[in-house]
Amino acid sequence: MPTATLESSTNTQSLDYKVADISLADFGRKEIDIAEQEMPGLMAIRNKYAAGKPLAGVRVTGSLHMTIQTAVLIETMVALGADVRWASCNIFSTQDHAAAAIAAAGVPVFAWKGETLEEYWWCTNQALSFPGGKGPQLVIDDGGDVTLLIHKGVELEKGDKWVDSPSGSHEEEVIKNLLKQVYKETPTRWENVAKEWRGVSEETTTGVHRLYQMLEKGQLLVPAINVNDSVTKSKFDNLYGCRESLVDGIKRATDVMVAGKVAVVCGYGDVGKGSAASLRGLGARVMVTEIDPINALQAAMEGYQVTTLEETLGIGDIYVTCTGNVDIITVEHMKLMKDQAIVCNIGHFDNEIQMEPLNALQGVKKLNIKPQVDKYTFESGNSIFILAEGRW
Amino acid sequence: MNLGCATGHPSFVMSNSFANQTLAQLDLWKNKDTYKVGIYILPKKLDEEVARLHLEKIGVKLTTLSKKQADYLGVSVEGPYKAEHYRY
Repeated sequence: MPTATLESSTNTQSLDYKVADISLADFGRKEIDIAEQEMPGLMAIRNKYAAGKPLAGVRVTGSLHMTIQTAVLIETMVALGADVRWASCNIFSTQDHAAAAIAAAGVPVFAWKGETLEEYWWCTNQALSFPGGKGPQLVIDDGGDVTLLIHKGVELEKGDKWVDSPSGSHEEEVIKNLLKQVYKETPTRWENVAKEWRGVSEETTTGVHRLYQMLEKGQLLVPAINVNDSVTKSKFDNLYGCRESLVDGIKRATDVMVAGKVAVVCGYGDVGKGSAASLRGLGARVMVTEIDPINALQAAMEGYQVTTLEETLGIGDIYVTCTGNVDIITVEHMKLMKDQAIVCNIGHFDNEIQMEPLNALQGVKKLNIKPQVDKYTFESGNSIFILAEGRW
Repeated sequence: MNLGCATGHPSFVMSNSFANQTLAQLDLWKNKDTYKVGIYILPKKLDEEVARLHLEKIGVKLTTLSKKQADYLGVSVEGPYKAEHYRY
């Protein structure tokens, strides 16, 4: 596994790649070959445009889960002529054999499963560091982390004091430290990057929300394409993707029998709709929490009981958050949950569940069962399981 | 957790998302000199095209509008078929 030596964290002399184990490349390639057969739309676009190389020499940074499917996207961008660098947009989401195959194909990729937050942001910065101190001309973003880093960097160079303000989370502190270090070494780094940056395409509800907030404040630096709100994205990936992958994740993590359990889905947007259907499909009794009367009415008319989270405590066996908001499941909620409840998040960020306060709670015992599965036992003797440390 | 504990969404559905990503990147670059700072959505025609590219794989036989039907709806036979405010 890669070590956490990050002295070169702001080194603009780009490294070629950093992955967990390059020897996994052959396995990755075999699975990429299979995925290509299941990705007809992407492959059709690759075949249509590859000959004309419309992105010849264009520097593209991607920050998107480094999976087998993403490998097919990366190789499509390369086939269109782009000069691509890649990082994952989640510390746990990389499939190491996919990253290895992409590295072996000569694309600089910085991603492995189980990064620390320091490593994660180091990887993001590496993906942004093209040879000769250059940055990307285009960005493919998922959640908006690359867009955030460039914007915060530019603001810092213009005299903004955000990096010196108190941090609301450990991750915020990590970002600030990275920006301070970059600034010390190259005080005009982000201004130089921004000069040649021509646009970003963003594919998550959360990332798009961030973009609109930046636009409203007059802070957005480049044109952005909201890919999330293509109908063929949000009404498919968010809905049918989650309908299959939610229970897949719960099953692989816990092997729990879903049939007969009470599942609580917090948020009934596209992801919530897919998640609720996923759990109902295996025979769970699904309850939904909502703040929006329209979505609440949709859930109720689909046959789900809609109630508050407080009402579900002591009843719910499986909790899933997908609201895009913070503090949905609090430490107080978790203390009152049924013994052996499973708690997980399929929304973009890990702040839907109060993880930092849970980890800091006096008297709680944390027992790691296996990677991405932790058992927390409260003073009452009740235990709950948290999947992927509350991350997507 | 679907990515942390399992392997995320299956390829077929991600082909839709990534087809949109690729078309967005092509569009941003092709029109880089005319795009102004702002947030844009891909044209409905391309959205329909992404869907169209996935039909054959799962055995969908699409019905084609007759000219009379297209005129009745006030759309072109080739699409786009829905108004911008339509919510699917």
